[in-house]
Amino acid sequence: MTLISGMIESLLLGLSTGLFCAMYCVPPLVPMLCGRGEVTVRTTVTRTLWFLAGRFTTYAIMGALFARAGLIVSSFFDPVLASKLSVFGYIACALVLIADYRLFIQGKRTFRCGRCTAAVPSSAGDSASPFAAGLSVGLHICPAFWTMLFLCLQSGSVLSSTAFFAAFLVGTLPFFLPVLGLPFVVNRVALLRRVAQFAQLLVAGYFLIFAGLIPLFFYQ
Amino acid sequence: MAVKSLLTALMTLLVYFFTISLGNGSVYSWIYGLFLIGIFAAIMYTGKVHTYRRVFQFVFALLFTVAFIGNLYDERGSMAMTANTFTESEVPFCHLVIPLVFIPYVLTQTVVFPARILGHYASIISLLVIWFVATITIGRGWCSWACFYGGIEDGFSGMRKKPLVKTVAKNREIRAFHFAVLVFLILMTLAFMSSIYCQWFCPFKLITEFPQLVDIPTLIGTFVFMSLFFLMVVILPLLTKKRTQCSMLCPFGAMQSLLDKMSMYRVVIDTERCTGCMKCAEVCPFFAIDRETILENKGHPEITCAKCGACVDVCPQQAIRFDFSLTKHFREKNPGKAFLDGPGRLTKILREFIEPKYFFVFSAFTFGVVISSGLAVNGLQRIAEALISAFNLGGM
Repeated sequence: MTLISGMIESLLLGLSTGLFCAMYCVPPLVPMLCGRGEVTVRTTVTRTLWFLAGRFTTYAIMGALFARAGLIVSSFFDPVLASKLSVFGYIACALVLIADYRLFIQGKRTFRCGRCTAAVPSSAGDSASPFAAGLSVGLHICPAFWTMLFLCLQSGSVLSSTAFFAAFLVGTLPFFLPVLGLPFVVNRVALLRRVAQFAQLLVAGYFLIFAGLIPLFFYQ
Repeated sequence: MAVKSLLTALMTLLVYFFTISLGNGSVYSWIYGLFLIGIFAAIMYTGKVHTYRRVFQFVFALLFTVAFIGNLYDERGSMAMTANTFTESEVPFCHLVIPLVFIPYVLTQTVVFPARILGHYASIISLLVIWFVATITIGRGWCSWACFYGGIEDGFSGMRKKPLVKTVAKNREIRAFHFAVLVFLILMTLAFMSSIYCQWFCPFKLITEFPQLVDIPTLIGTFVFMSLFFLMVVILPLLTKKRTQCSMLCPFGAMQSLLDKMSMYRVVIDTERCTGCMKCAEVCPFFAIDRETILENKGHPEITCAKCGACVDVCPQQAIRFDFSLTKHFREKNPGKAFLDGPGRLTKILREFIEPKYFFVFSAFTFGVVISSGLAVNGLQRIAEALISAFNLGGM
């Protein structure tokens, strides 16, 4: 498999399964886009790109790990590993959403320890938070991601695996375009901002308890 | 007076057809039929919409519960759903999950609920048709007039004379929370491609059907839905005199609020007559009126109004009334003018005849009759037979 053919395959995989990627990414992403600060096309694009960058970082790290490990990981390459990674992904995502709510919705960004005071800059809400959410969401294992990991494993090259995942991510991008319409809706109905804030907490709670801790302790 | 009599006579015909005739003229269908006619006549002649509607909905909910559980025992011998129930799509479709099945279906052509598409009294298509007709006629009025679950809370919320906890100041937040629950459930249903509301959050599993207790997660699920039932359907309605489950958790209620603009009827507040006493806000079970609604002279309750009639009944100035949605434009152009204004006798009769309140009550109650008749008669029969066998009256 050449680099080009692998990238084309990844791109097509992204295009054909991107809907499911978007369906999974939307629950943590949409409340973050609508619940705080200014909601403009610019902030929406910025936050979405940071979110996708986070996703890509996890993909690239996972791809590199699998590419370096090669076929030695094939014995762990089963649904149990996939569901465990997903569970940790849910828990991490929940923690990010809760931290984001506290820092950027409740505005408790100052931390004190003795005489020292540290503050999280408000601009981090547009970059660090979505990036962290993207990092955790990237751990969710779906069939398309699983297939991509196989491609990386076969390639045996960190560079190729990164290129494959970049092509895959590009393939999924069109499915994220509808989020660009959010500012037009949110700015028309004032209540929607509060709705998004509550939804963020509910999504975090569900990810933490029902998709995270319960499967972690009782299903595996 | 003539209009009230005419509509009562028409309702009697409808009840005769849907309740008595379809109930094969059994004694139970006659009893329930007479109950329905009595309730409708009481609303018409006393003008107390909310009081009698609540009696109807509570009785309907109780009889529905008895019938539903009885039917499950007849069919399966238990209220628990087995693996076969899921794999063979034998779960009766429930209107509460209608908002959750739409978007996944549009995007992936997958129905995330294990029910039959057709050929069952609770199939997906049959409920969707009923829902569509209800939406374009009575809108969110469904929750007050045709929802068999809502009646239970309605009963509990009406038990105390005054609320122990007042919520008016928090109404806006509660409405936002309700829509957040809808958004959350839709997003999660999309992400997991399964109806997570049914899996974890439906409080009515306690009185309908629930998964078999085979492992710790189903035990946790059972604990969650029992807690939600007692908290949202019993305790909070008792404390607040509000329908808390319908106004905070039910995805169908939130969706109907959004679609209510499509309906033929609405509730309007005459801002000229309103003195701002806030009695309407205190009695509204759906958190649909708050200080801003009145102070900002909005002229209508908020989006979550379910047309239960509580505010219409309680307003000392008669400033709140039912209205046709179509006349909104006319009234905005001609403030203070009646829709059919004129001195003629015919105009007066017509004006009385097209009184929106009567029309709305007639439409909404018709839904109540159609939805309730089959199961309510069945429930009544089951209760009567249980009593007869308990007291051994059959052997007398």
